[in-house]
Amino acid sequence: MALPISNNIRRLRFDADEMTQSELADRIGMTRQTIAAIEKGKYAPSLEAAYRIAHVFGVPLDDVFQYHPEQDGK
Amino acid sequence: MSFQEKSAWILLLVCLIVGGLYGQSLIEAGGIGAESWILTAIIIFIVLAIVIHIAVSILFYRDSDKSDERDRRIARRADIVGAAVLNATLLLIIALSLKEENWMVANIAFLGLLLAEGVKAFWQIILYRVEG
Repeated sequence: MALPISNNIRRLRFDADEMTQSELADRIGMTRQTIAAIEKGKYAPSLEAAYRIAHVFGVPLDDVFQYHPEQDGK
Repeated sequence: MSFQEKSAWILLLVCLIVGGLYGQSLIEAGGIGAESWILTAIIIFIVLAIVIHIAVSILFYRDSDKSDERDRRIARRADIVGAAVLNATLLLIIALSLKEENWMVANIAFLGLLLAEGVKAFWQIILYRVEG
């Protein structure tokens, strides 16, 4: 099932000197597999994790994650 | 594949090996009511699971200590399915022991089920209070 949240993590990693998924995972205390799942839109991280990701790239949360209410069944 | 997923594969494999051997021996011994090597099976299960986990930890030492919120969420969701199977099995034990008039087993199974539900409700209330 598709999540109503998309993200720009792949582009942000690319812009940050081609940071690898493993590097990002290590910096926020997650596994590489979870970063891959977030990038593919298969997993929505907790608010804390989302803020940690935004903090690593030095951007606001909205620059990392976008909410699409029209795709939200609730 | 994360270490937690590898761990799930290991447990599935061990369940299939021990379950297969145990099931086969039960069939050969005359069915579900036959005398069996249940304690040995439990020991084999634990030893096999530990040994394979250690071997995989050594092979994939880099991520063997890593788990995160996604791993925990997946484990919780899988726990719900496992608990449902366990509850159904316990209800079957109660039904069979009542049929056989084995009151001790029926009482232990019933009280165990009651205790588990009670602890779950109590813990749920605590968590609602703490996080509320």
